[in-house]
Amino acid sequence: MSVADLEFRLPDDVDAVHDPDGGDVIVSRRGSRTPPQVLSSDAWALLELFREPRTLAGAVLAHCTSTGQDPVATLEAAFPVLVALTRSELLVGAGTDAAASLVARHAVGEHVGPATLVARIRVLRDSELWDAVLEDGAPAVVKVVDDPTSGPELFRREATALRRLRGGPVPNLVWSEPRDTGGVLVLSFVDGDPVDLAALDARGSRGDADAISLVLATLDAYAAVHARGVLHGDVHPGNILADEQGHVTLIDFGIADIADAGLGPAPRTGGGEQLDPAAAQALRHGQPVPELDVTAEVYSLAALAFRILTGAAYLDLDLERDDALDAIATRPPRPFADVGRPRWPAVEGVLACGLAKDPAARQATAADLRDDLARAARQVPAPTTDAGELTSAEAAALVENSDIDGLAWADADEATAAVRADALQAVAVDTGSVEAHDLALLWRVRAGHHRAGERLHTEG
Amino acid sequence: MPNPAGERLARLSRVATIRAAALTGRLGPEPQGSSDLAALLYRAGGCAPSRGIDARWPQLVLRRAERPVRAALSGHTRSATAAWMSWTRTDADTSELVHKIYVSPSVGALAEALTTTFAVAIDLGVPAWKVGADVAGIHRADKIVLYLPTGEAADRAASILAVALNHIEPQGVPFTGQVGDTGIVSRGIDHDGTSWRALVCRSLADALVAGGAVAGPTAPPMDVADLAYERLVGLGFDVTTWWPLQPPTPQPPTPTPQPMTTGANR
Repeated sequence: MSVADLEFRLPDDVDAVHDPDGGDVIVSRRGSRTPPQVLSSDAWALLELFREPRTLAGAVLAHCTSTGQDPVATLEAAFPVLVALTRSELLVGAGTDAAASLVARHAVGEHVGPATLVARIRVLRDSELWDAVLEDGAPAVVKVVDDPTSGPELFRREATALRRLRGGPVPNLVWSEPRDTGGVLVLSFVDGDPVDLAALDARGSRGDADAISLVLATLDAYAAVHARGVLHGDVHPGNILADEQGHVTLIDFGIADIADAGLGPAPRTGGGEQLDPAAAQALRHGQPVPELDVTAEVYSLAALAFRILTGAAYLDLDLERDDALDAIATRPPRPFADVGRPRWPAVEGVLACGLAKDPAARQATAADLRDDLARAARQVPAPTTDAGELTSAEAAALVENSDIDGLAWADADEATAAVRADALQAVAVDTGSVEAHDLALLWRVRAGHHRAGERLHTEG
Repeated sequence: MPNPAGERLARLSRVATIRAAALTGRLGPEPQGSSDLAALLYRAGGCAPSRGIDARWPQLVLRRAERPVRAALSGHTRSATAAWMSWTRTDADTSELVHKIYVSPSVGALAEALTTTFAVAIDLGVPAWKVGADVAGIHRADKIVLYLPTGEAADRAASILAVALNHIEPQGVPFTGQVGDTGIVSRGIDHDGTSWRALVCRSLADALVAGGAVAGPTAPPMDVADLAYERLVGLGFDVTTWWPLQPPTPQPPTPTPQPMTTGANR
């Protein structure tokens, strides 16, 4: 049977969200690790035809019949999209296992080893995570690894690493059981958020002091893990949980490298900003990826520190895969100022060392990186200066004098109204003031379509 | 600005109305002028995101609120749009859920208010609620909305929430009926698929334009506002407290000022 004869279908567990501002549709499959895909409304209309099994050509013909489009041109335009959708399992062969909707392997109330399942955290096609409770009432997490290809090794590495690291900055392994396609782990519950988000304050902004504390706590945790012969191999913010007190716990050791455990070299991740230059270079050229070592993990940790401190990746990696791999292999980290953060030359210098392309130029260990950063952080970030920024007294006066009973309201033309709207909006952003926000909106309507060309500096 | 006696949300609503009234002599031709006013009224009471806000923060706050009650939420369907995250009890008939409770903490107090609101909503068996799920959504005045099937159930839940949230700094939703002392909790009711605030703001904008035409371009804004309020009273609105006691007489349809999300299941 040729591809032309194959029937495909849109799985029942695909969800679509329509963007009200544009014509795009965000499409994702429940339980899939593939990120949501953004489709044009036209492409979504075509994809929806696969609710019933169809061949690719049959769907394109049906689409063209309803839209009046040219079938040949449409097929040429749609074919790459349809191929991409098959790769992300949004379009699957009719009647195949991949077409089946995801069903949870367990249920609330079920006993798994010493744990009773309480609530589902997430169910993916290759794993599950559950909130659970132990017999003594202690909260726990049940992790199910279920993938015929990689599951057994992921389970074995995770269980081995957690036993090796017992008492360290990792969850306590309460119970485990291997299975043919992976296994089940019962872990002590860890309360926390991804470490890069834990640095945010009550209004969602990043504080330098909290961020550097979390970086140092994270590097302390990695130094402790490395000291016991374990390299994590999966350094990203979602695998480092920080609680409200700033305590850090490392999770997910499925691809960890564990010295003297008889497990052989660990599998490497296939991408992401934590990838070190040698691995990126190898992936780019289709060569075997070098084994994980401390210098590669130090690079990943420097990349992670950059993200915790700035909220952004150390490189602009919003690129095609090949270009992103090339950027990791060749480009130096961008300055903090490029991602909207205050300059912090001392800290940026230490991170640049950790992110050196030559492994020999990096800090030798996670502990060294930690100590260098702790020293550098004693120098405070460079203050941001904005010549147009109002003092708090000026901002208060501007708000006070901008209401409709003031002279400004009586006299303003559209141009000055636009300038005032911008100035009030800046105050609203700086202060969070509802009053400034509402007055900015008022003056914006007053200004009509006129846009301000300059900022209002002071208000008499 | 005048500060009429009464509750906080009533005052915020009155201020927003008078400011909008001041624009009536300066608007473009209809229907755009009325639409601009309706949008202005609808957005009143919001605030601006801080400069360095992380776009993922709203989702983080929602996850933190869910975490302590994850087990209790197993009987709810969680759904998402670009702007809202919704929780709906699986046995709820969403077509009946027109009685609304607004919970409006200041952005800095959102995390604490959400945790309390989730706990109370679950404890009371509230059938559905939604929360702004992006940066814009959590800076709206009406960032948390609960839906109930009857006015009595909504009044009771609102009173309990007002006590539970009394110590939290409010933001407050203009043109909704205040419950409790601070204005952090208030009430509304949807009509024929149109959200309470959309209905109020469109009706008020039309009334302000009409009032401005009657009073003339040099009339004091307060006079224009009073004329508009007279018209709204005739339509069944309580323009003092904005309490949704009586189903107001629907206005003839007017152009929508901006996309407004309504409904518990959207």
